[in-house]
Amino acid sequence: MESEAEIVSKVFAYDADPTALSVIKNFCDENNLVGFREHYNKINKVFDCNIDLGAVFLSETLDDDGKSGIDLAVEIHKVRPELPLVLRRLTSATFDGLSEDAQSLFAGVYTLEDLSPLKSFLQDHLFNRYYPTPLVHGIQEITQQTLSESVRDSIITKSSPCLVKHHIIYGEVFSMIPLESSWCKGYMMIQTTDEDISNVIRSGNTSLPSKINNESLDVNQLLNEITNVIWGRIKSQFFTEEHNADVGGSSIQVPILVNHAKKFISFGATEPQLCFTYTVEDTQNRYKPFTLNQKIIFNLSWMPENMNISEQILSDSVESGELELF
Amino acid sequence: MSKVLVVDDSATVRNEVGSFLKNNGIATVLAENGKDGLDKLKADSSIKLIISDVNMPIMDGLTMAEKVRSELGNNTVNIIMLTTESDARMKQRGKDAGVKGWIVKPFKGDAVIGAVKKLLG
Repeated sequence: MESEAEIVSKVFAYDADPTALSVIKNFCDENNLVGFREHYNKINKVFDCNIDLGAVFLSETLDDDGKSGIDLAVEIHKVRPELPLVLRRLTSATFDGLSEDAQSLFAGVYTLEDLSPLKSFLQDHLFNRYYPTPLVHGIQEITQQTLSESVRDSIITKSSPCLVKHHIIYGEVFSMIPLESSWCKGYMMIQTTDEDISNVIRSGNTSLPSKINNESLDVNQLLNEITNVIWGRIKSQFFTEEHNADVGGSSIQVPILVNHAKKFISFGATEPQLCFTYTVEDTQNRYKPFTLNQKIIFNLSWMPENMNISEQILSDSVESGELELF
Repeated sequence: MSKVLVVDDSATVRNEVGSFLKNNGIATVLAENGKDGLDKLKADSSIKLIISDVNMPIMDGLTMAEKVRSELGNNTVNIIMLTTESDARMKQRGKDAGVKGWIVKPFKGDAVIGAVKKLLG
């Protein structure tokens, strides 16, 4: 099912109180959140598999094993220190009575009786950055079109765009390219799994020969070309020439840190990143459906009020793929 | 026999364009970047048309086009850019370097084969 470009965020909720879970579910529905829960013994898997998490809702209430959200927060903090955690307290929406160590784990507290602190928490930590709908929608459309052209006879399904707070590297292979204009500066990452891309090439549904000579080289080439075409189209549509002429803060850079052991990449900023997921499926089942994860990270400059959408795209009489003779 | 030099750092594109031209009876020479393209052009006088990407490592396609005219003094070979770029200033730079045409990726062979044959002479 295709979804509109309305931005959502995925939150994991662990709460032993069924009443609280019901209230949280309603809250999620009303606030563009996709909430989900899991048993305590499967929680590690949650953080391994869900690469598009925005926040975690925990609770003081003890579960059947005598564990509370504070115990869980300690564990989550070890594996996902960048994820904002919020704690449901039983009596008042304050940090009173929590040890200093416990307080440092949580970005906010709330009670069931008053959800306004939870709403403020979302505004401060997840929805604090405005991503213009035409940009979000445009990136989705461009990527979907490019994937469809790069992998013949494919059905491309896109999920709702997500705001994410963590920095996990998904899959086994990723490409990364700078996105730079006078109103934004950052990166686009496209992440997927090596074997899935190999299978697509072997199926003969791409421009590369189906007989793979050098597996990793061919995988790299295909992912690079997909990235390149998406990048070019984003640039043409959103980085119009008058803005392109003056790339803001072009000398400003920050180091990018990659932790291989923990499959983690940091761009030096804590703002929520835009995350899109696409599933590529063959109409004739010649390869296993696979997922591409696209992240847009504006870590250095972000002034969307200056964004212009190119009129050229609408008015240009020469379409993609056709020769414009000079 | 006149040949087309296909210059692109992407093996995907080289393969796609090369195969299409070959299937249409056109001989090709492949190069991975602008510098490689210049070397191949110098070495093969039967190249009459260049189809080149713009953004490539080592030497970009527009610099290559400029060098074809200025350094090699070759004013007869036709050059078409095949790129994701559609920026007007970039196209102007191409025009100034004697580029004959511009294709925004993806490559749709059927849409351009007539013009390619014409430019190939």
